[in-house]
Amino acid sequence: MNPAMKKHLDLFFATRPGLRAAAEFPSMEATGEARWDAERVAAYAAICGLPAGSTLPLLVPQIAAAKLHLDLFADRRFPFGALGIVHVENRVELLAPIPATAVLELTASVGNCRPWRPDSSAGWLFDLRTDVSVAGVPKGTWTATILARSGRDDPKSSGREGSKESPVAGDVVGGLLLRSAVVTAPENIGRRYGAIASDRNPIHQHALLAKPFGFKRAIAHGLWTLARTLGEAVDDLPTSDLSLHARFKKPIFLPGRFLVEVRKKEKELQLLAQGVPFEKTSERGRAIPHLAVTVTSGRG
Amino acid sequence: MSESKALRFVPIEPPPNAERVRRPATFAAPGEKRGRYHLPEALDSSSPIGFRTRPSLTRAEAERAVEMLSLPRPTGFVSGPVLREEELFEESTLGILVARQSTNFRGHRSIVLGPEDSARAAELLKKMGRREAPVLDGAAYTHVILARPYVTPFTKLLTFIGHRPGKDLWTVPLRALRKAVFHTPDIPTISYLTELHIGVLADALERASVVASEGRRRAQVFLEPFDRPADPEALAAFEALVGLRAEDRRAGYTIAIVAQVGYAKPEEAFPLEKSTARKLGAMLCSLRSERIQPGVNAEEQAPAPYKHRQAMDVPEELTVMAGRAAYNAFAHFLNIPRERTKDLLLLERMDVLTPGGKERLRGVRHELEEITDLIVKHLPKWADFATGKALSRNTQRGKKAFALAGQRIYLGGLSRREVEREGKRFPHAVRAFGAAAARSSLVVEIAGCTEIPEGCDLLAGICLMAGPVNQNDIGKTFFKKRDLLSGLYGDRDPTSLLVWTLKAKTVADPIGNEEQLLNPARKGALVDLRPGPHDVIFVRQSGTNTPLRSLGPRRNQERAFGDVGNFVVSEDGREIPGNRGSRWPEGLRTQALWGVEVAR
Repeated sequence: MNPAMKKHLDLFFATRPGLRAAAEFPSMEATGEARWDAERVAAYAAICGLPAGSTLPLLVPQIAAAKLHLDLFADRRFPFGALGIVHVENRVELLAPIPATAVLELTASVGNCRPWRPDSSAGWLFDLRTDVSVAGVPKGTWTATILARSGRDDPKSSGREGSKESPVAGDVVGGLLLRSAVVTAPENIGRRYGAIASDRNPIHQHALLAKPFGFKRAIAHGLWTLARTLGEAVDDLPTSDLSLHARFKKPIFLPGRFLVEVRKKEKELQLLAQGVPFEKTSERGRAIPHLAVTVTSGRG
Repeated sequence: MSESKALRFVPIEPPPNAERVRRPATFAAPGEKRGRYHLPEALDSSSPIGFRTRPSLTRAEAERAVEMLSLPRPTGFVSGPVLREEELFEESTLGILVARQSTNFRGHRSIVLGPEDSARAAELLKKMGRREAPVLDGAAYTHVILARPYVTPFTKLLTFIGHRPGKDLWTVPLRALRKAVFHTPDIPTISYLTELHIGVLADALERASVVASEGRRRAQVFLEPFDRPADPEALAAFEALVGLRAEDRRAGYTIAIVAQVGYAKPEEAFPLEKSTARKLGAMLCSLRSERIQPGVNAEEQAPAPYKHRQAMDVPEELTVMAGRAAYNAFAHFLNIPRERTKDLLLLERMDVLTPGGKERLRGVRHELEEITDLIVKHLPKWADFATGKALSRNTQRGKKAFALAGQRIYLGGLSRREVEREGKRFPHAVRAFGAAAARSSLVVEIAGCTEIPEGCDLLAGICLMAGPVNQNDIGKTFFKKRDLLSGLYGDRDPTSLLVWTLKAKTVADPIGNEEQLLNPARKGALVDLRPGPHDVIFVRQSGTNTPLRSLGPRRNQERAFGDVGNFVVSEDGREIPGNRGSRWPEGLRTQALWGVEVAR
């Protein structure tokens, strides 16, 4: 069998050792290089509603490292199967802007494993970190926090619907409202974005493919949702020394729309992607945002 | 040929303190049924308008705004900086997207030509032979407005009117077919409505170029119908230049307006302070039809501010200025001596303050209701039953469109015979009439937005209505009724075209009226949804028409002149989610559209 194919099959179907204690989590690292051509950068920018410029859009280095991430997940030492892991948080520490077509020197690693809830049987959180340099000069760090649920947890009460202990829509409120706009996520956005980002996870492709995984319809990629949300505030974001913390709380079903509100509170920019008030949602469902983001200038 | 008479600002006296009321602004409580008096839950629209309040102009700002309404045509252009995307967005907002033709927002498209195409367009316009004004050289860009016949559920309903029983089995489908293929209107005023809308847009375009450029740019607007050019080949070449396709023609689109825009000669510039221009732009985005006269025609369930009369009036001098603006605009767009306009424009005042006005209004209402009854009586039964009586129900519902309330009510029209005797084509005169109506309304609306007292929404508003005229036209065409203007102008073969209802008041109409233009779930049957720039504005670049503000799945969410901050908020200061919008990315806003300096 072709090694790439075998790796992909391993990713989903290989038996995993599982994890009993955080200390057992293996320390793993992968390195490589990636470069996006101008056409791909422009296509990515357009699909995320960003103007194409001379610098790389903020989340591209993380997407460019996807192959390394898969390598790590496919490694037999990695304790969790790729199916069912959920991207719950994302942090970016950008030191300096990166030229649009630069060769990215990437180092991906997993670590910082901790129990999701006090009772570790519910699942584990771990960080997937990507360090990026260009010509040997560090440009920043992208960290995805990932939840690996155990089979004993009830998915309806957590991950997909927003975790119970997640603060509701109020964790980024109170600043001066700068922008408030309804954003549309077309039905085909998962396929279009997936083709550009090389992420063809079936849950993003089509309702029929997403159903076997427990979703009523296909859901938008978290990193597209984040990029599209940031797109509404693109002129308010610092271009260097940026520190971003995003929390994914509830998926966006496709087709869908969400309300993005951008507020400024002292030096902090707060972005909230939430349900549109005139859509039929339960009070609880409405209170949980899809995504909450804070951005500050300077390293956090 | 036409010289405008200067306009003066006329203030409106606010009512006593106790009567100064404004629109209640509350969101529906959880579980409460939401109605037209509640604030919308959210706004999801790519229109640059949104839910706005009228900003209060200072007297100096209002005087400058009124002065702008009687500018003569430009005589030439000079070179100037390249046009940036954000400038076109704001100009198009005021010229196309905000104009008051709410029944036909989506019946128009604007193709914007760059400097090189504009030079070619000027050559072709000269060959076509424009009689209303000289074609200018050196335009920085050109708006070419395409218009299609007016199509709404109302025009569909018209298909079923005026048939003989039995014969209607084939005359209804025949008329429907003629309408679909040849765009043949059922009644003449429906095609006049299209012409009126074009006039409204033409007037807005002239103003838009001034306000959006703080007075640096001016527009030379041509609105005489383009269908009989001196050189037909030049028209064909012009249509090719703007990319008019066969499918557009099938949908009925034709070239309706050409507006050459350029940098004004120093002596023809109309400098506006930046803050004044921004406020005027925001004000133009906030204007809407005002149908309710408090204490006169509010419905039973209306909140208290709509139910009590207010001791205020439309000053006589203000109506004089509004009339003067109408005459100015009519002469300006028809290119006739101003003194001739008073003969050509047929106007009848018929409000309760004029002698016999009350009886006249009652008579008009009675006549229009009689026509409604005749329509219902003669509707083909097979069609009415097949549609679950939707036809007769909607006909009855249409009565709302004839509400004639206001302190000043004018009915206006033209005599085709007299217009043609003047050497002008009737459709051209109807277009000029539309422009005149729009401009005269603005005089009242500016006064209504000046020095607005605390606790009030406005001081005066206006509703321009075609509903009563269309209904009368149905009566004329199918039931042997006479024109509404026949009483006063019977010997002149009048065609009534529009009704103005002027209202002095401090409370704006319910926000639900505006919501039916912005929320697809609440769209009114007789109106269009406000379009976004990508729906109707196209930039011609390298032979391709590119929609304005379309980037991947992203569409405009910016509210034009939003920096003025005149957004509707609840009484406790909460904004309507999505209403504030979000500015288009700076990197795209500041982009030069055609990338070259305009060189002469």
